[in-house]
Amino acid sequence: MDLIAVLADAVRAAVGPQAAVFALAAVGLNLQFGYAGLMNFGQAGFMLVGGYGMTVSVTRYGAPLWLGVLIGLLMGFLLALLLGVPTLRLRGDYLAIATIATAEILRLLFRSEAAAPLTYGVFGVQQFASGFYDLNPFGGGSYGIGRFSLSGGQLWIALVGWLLVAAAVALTALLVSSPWGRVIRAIRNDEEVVRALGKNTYAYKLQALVLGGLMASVAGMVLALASQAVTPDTYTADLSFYAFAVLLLGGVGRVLGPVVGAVLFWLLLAASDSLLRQAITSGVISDELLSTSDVGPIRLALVGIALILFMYFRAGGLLSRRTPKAAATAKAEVAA
Amino acid sequence: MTSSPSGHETTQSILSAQGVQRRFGGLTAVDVDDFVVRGGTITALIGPNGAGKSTFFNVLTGFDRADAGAWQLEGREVTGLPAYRLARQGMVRTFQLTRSLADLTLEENVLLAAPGQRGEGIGGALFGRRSWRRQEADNTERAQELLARFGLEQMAGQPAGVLSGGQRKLLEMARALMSEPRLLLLDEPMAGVNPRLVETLLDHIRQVRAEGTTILFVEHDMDVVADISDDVVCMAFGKVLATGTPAEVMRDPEVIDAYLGSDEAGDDDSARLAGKGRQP
Repeated sequence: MDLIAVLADAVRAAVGPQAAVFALAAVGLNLQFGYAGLMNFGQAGFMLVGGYGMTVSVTRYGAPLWLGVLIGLLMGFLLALLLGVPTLRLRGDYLAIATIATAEILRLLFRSEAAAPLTYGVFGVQQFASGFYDLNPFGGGSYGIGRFSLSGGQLWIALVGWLLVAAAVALTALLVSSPWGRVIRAIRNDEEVVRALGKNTYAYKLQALVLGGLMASVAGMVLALASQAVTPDTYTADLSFYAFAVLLLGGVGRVLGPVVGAVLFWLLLAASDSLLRQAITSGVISDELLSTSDVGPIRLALVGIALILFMYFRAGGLLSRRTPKAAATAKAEVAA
Repeated sequence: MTSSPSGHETTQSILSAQGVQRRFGGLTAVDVDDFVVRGGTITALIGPNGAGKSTFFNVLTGFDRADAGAWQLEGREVTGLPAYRLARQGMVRTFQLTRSLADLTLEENVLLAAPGQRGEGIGGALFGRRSWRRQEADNTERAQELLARFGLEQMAGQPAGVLSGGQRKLLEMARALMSEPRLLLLDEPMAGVNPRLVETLLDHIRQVRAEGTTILFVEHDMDVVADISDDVVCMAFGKVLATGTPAEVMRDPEVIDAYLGSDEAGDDDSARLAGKGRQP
C-alpha cells in the first residue's frame, strides 16, 4: 500500500476547487442557518441557477464571462426573493419545505426535454470555460512537489475559488460582528422579541437569505468552471445536505466553521476513498468482501459516521466554543 | 356593558382606542368600545382568565390583527401598524413568558434595544463602521447603567441563557427601557415570580413612572394592582366592564360578579375583591 499516495490524494482534495465550492456554499448557509436560523435546504438550487445562469448566457448568447457571472448572481438574487418573500413571514419550517422543493423542481425543470433548447437537457454542456482558463497566469505546467502537485489550470481555479471563499468569509466576519449581526443572531433566538424591540425582522431574514444565496450562486459558478461542465444532476438535494454536513463538521455560527468543515469533509472523503481503493487493489481487503465500485458509497458512510461522532462529542462542530464539558462547567459556575 | 373612562380629564391620554374588535370564527374575543391610558400613569388591565386582556394587548402592540377599530398613540393614528413600527413610535412591550435571547450576552440583549443604531443596516454595518462604533460606545455605557440598576451588572458578559426566571424578568425590563419607550406595556410582569422579587419589580415600575414613562400592564393579582396602579381597567368576556381608580373598580358589583363567576379566580381573589383587605 502506498500511504504517501493516500495522503497526496487527501491533500489535493482538501485544497482543491471542490473544497472551495463546498466552503462557499457553506459560508452562505452559515449566514442563513448559523446566524439567522433560517432552514435553507435548497443551497443546491442556488448553485444551479448560478452555474446555469453563467454558462447559458456564455454559450447560448455569447455573453462575455463577466456578464455571465453577473447574470448568475442576478439569478441567485431572484431565487432568494422568490423563496423568501412568500415564506419568511411564516414559521421557520415552511422555508425548509419550500427551499428543498424549489431546488428539486429547478433541477427537474432544467433537465427536462422542453427546456433543453436553453439548458441542454439531461447531459448539460461541457467545455465552455475557455474564457476563464485563457486568463490562467500559471500556464500549462505542473505546480507543487512530486505527487503533491496540481496542474496550472487546477491551480488557477483553486486560487480563484479560495480567494472568493476568503472574500465571503471576510464579509461574514464584518457583518456578524456589527449591530446587524447582533440583530440576526437575536432573530435566531426569538424573532418576536426582536420585533417588539422595533426591528423589521422580515427584512433582516430576507437580507440573510439573499446574501447566503448569492454566495451559493458563486459556488455554483466555481463548480461549473472547475469541472468545465454543468449538468442538472450535479445539483441534487444531496448537494444541499453536503453543505449542511460541511457546516456541522466545521462549526455552526462560527466565521471559519465552513472553511474548516469543507477541508475536513474533503480530507475524509478523499482519504477514505484512496485508502479503500489501495487496500482492495493490494489485497489487504479481499475482492469478495469489497470491490472498488463499493468505495464511493462507503466513503460517504464514513463521513456520515464522522458527523454522528461530532454530534455526540462536539455538537457545534470542530470550532465550537461549547463542548459538553465547557457547558457543564459554565452551568456549575453560575450555580455556585 | 361599558362604562366610559371616569373623570380623569386633566391629564392627556397617551394611548386611546375605539371600537377594537378581534374575532376568532364565531367568538368575539375582544370588543372594546373605548379605552384610554392617561400619560404618566401606571394603568392596570385586569380581568378573569379568558377575558381577552392578552388578546387586546397583542392587538394594540401589533402582534395580532384587529377586525375592527382604531387606536392612537400620543394623538398619532397607529391603527394596524406592524409591531416593529409601533415599537419605534415609543410603544414597547414585554412578554408574559419571559423571553431572553439566550445566546446573546446580557449586554448584547440590552444593546439590541438601543434605538437608531446605524450599524443595524447592512450598508451602515459595512461602510459606516466608525460611526456605529461611536454610537455603540455610548450605548454600551447606558446599557451598563441599566444593568446595574437592575442588579445584573456582574453578569453583563454572560449569555442570557444562564439567568434564573426572575433575573430574566429584570433583564427584559432593562432591555425594554433601553429602547426609551414613551409607553411601556408589561404582559403579566409578576406571573410566576417569587414574592420578594415582586416587590423589587414594583419598585422598578414605580421608578420608571417617576422618570416619565407611562406603564400599562396586564395582571390578575388584585393585591399588586391595588398597590401600584393609578387607573384600573377591568375586562370580562372581551368587553371593558369598568374603568377608574383601583378602589372604584374593585367596588364595582359587575367586576365582583365577573371574578366570582369565573372558574379560574380562586376564593382568595373573590374575598379580596369583596374588600377583606389588600395585604396577604
